Amino acid sequence: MSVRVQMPPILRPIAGGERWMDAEGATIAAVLADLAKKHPALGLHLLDEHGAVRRNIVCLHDGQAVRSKEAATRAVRSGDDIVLTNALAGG
Amino acid sequence: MAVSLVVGTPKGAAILTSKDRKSWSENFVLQGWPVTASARDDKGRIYAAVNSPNYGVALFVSDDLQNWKQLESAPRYKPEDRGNPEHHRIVSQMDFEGVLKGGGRFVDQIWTMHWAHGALYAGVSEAGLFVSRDYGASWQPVDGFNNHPTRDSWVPGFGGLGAHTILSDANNPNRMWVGVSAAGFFRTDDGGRTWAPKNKGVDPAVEAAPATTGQCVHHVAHDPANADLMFRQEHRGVHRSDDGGDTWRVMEDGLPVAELSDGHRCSFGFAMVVDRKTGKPFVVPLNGDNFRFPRDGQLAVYRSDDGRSWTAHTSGLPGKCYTAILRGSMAADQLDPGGIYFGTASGAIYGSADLGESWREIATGLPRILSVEAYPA
Repeated sequence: MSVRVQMPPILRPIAGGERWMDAEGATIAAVLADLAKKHPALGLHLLDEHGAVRRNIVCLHDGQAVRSKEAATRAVRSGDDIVLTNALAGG
Repeated sequence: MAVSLVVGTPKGAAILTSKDRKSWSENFVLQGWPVTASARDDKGRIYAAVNSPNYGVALFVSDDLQNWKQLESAPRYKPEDRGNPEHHRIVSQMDFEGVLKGGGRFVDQIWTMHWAHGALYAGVSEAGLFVSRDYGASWQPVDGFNNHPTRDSWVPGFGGLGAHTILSDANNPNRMWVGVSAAGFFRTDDGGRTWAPKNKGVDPAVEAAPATTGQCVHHVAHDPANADLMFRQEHRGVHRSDDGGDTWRVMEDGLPVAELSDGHRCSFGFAMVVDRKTGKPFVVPLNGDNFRFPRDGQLAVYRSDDGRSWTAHTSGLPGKCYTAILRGSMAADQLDPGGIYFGTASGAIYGSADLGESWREIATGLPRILSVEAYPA
């Protein structure tokens, strides 16, 4: 599946500066793993030591917030948009 | 006399640059990234360590302190490395999904970096030591340290289980030291294959009886060219060693002494540096572990010739200061006369161009200062 992933501002400079990045995969975890493979520096921020999606990453997909532990089973369709965001706290 | 300071904060790094150590320019880089440590290699490049509770640990490198490029590799534990449950409990406030609890060993922060003998070292939490021999392109764990025989007994301080101090011997590439809160201080004499605890004469953090490990070392400083003379700011006071850490003695004459939460009286603090030209150590005492700000609010830097007696220096420092100076946030530029710099937990940077005799505020309005390093141009 070919999808688009919107990068948060802090990660954009690490992989070319684009807001949207194209990636392949059948699940959200697979899509992020594809990005990590294409862009190793970006990959440090997406996947942890165990290859899992970092625990505080939240992906917005199809009107829902998908947390990291659901990323491996969350299926995507060709043409989907995924918005990469994260857990937030105060100042 | 040109100097650049790399000041790490939770929201980026302030780059303070001066040609005369009197007037300073300021730039704020790596915006949005918590910057925890920096180091310079033998080619003059500066490495900055960042950690984000969301996006993990990474390293950036710069030739000019303005343009930064992220490296494609960073220290990481092996999937089979088991974590310390108590460390996980302490850092879990940042663990949105709770996956840390009971799980593997993660690098959640680079506390310090150190360049020595052609290699870049990183001290991390969960406590460990990593080395890169290719300018950060790849990182290897120092297994002799990370799998230390006493590791199962290591207990984190309240800030977690962190390897925050790395020292080296300019004359002996096989000898290095690492300090861990609150496991103590360790030395290798065989290039990192084995590490011996070096805590004799230092009381453990919480135990009444002497112990080989379990000391809450806050920072250790020395001159790498005279490596065996060491000064140690411990939770339980200021110590000196003349034998590379084999033995330690309390040396607090002239330092303010405060009562700790357990009733012990000593000079508490975190930051410590040594000016290599003169061998003089510097500390910034805080009023014990219950209060952790300067006594009576008077910010003071204490200097000694050799640790035997200490003198307060307050000229130019505020008298109503109720903040702390963290362990990594003091640096010496090693120029002549020596420049000393430190940052506060409330975002101010103070500098002295005369070995601490007089001070001036050289930056303010920054976030909490996590690290300060000084790089002469």
